[in-house]
Amino acid sequence: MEGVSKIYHLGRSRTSLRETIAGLFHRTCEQGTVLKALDNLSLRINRGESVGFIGPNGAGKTTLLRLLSGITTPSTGTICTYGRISSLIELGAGFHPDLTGRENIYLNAAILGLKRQEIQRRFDAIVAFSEMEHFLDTPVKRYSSGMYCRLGFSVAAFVDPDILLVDEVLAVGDAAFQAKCLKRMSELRAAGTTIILVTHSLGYLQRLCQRAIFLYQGKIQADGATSEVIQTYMNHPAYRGNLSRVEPDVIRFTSTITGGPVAITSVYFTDRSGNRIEQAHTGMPLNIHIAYTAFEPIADANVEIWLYGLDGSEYATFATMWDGLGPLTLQGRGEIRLQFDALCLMPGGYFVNAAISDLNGLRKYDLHWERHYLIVLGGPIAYGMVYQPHRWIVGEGNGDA
Amino acid sequence: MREPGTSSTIPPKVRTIHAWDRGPGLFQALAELYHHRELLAAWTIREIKVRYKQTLLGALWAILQPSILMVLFSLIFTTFIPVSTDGIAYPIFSYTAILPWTFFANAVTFSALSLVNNINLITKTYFPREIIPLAVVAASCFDLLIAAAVFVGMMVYYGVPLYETALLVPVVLLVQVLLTMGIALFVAALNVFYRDVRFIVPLLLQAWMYATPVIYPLSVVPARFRFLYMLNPMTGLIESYRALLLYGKLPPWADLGSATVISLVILWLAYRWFKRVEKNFADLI
Repeated sequence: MEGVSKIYHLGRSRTSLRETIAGLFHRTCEQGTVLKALDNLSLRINRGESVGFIGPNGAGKTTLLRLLSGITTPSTGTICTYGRISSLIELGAGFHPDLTGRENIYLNAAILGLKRQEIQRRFDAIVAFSEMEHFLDTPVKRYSSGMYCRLGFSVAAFVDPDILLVDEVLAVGDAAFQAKCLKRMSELRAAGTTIILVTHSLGYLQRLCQRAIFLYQGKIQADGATSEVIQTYMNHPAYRGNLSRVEPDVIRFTSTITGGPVAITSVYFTDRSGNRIEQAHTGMPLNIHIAYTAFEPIADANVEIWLYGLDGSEYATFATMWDGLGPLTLQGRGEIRLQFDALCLMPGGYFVNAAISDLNGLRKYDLHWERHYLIVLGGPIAYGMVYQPHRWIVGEGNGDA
Repeated sequence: MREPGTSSTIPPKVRTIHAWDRGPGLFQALAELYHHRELLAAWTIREIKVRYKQTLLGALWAILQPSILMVLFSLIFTTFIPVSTDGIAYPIFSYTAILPWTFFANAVTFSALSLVNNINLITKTYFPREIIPLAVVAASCFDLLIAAAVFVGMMVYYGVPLYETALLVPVVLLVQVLLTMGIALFVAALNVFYRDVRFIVPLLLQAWMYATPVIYPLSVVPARFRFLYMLNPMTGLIESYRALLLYGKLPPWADLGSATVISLVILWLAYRWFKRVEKNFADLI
């Protein structure tokens, strides 16, 4: 694609005759806001490449996919594609609620461009993949949303396109099904399918794509090897800007408690040698420091630390009480340090939340919620949900067991 | 996991989209439509299935709708205000016209809503958009065939012989389908831009029906209005149906001819316009 822009006129679509007629008379006064979803973008993706697009919401990622699939056309520039394109922009788009699973498989596959014969050849594979054999003759309106998505993904996954466009749809079904989806995508990639992926999950990105492109405000900010682009992305203000956007979804405590007997004065991170850092590395040592000031001595303190993902999911929780430290006595100014020998978090952005509370954790003396942010970058090569510190032992025993 | 032979049967399709494109040419558009013919078939079947799913009477509605109209009009125009129908019983006289008219009106009404009702599909997937309204027309053809069973019954009941001119009915039907497709494409696309269309369409259709000799014979129309009547392609079509099926005569060739020309022009203009504005659907809908 070359010099591609996409301009949306916000608040200016006229979908009734009245507005248009009114518009004829007021042409001069209202000009509406213009949104450049994509701004003069040029890029080339080669056959068989798998490329991931990342960027904050509204960066233009989905617009790009819609342009590539032909759903909309660019405002400027040229897009050239080779081969059959299948888009997973929304799973099960085109499913009709009143039709059965079987009928919808045929219909959806036809929408994705398969001939009847081709569908028949793949039908069993699609059904087996979706694990929905028993519900084939049930109207899909009786399906759960998980079943719906599973069927949708299964159809799209067996279209065998030359180019597969995927928009944030991998988060379907349970963990086992997700793993299956990833496996199927890897198979397609191995078979030479060009995969273009839009995702917020840096984990998927690392697993599926060699190349990543960071989009921001309709422009390419970085384009290159996935791990490098992820790093650029995580250091970009736009990524940190995500923080404020995530907040409303998370159960919110008051971010700071004032007037308590003790206050957390700062939370910071250091590496093995005690140097202050803002970026940690998977599998490497990390210290989390909590500095406090006790205005009056407390004898029943319990220090808690939570590690949260930006999406609000809880990764790990630690408390001095649980680890058998007993009630802590805090007096004056001081510091508490939580030490990890090998950080198990995978690359991404995390909140480090901290609290000083009473023994049962019910009364918070002070709480810092979503105020401290840790960037984790790649360390040792690792894929999956967590990094498990490990060691290999080779040549032990004689194989009798 | 690519099945052997799959990729080789599909020639790599090169698609270039320029921002300045004004839509594909007619032949390119038709080639693409032909390429997606199986989707058109699948979508037509879906339309038919969906239309009568969870209705108590199912496809019986296809029969009931024109039949009830026929009964009502028969009551009015034989008992209250008798009209002369040149020796043919009024019920079968009117049904010969109500049947194709119902097909036309239903196809146009449903297709007006068809694109907008499938917002999700249009904003999330790509295929030639005309498939959606065209499938509506095809599904309405299916209804027409079902309702035609009643017509056969009436022919037996009223002792109307099966003339050999009935063999020409498919030709007239073809012209009517082309006309219906043209109007369906036009209103479907227009409704994307202006939702007013869905209110206007039923109104216009009703007016159009009264301006067409559906429930009365053309012979009652004063001569000075005849010219205007012939501009209406539905007049030529309905007069042809009646001539072929009820009177065993050849159709009025001049009327049928002008109806054919008008229908083709409407279809061509509508399709050309549809393809030109199609690319804006996903942004505007």
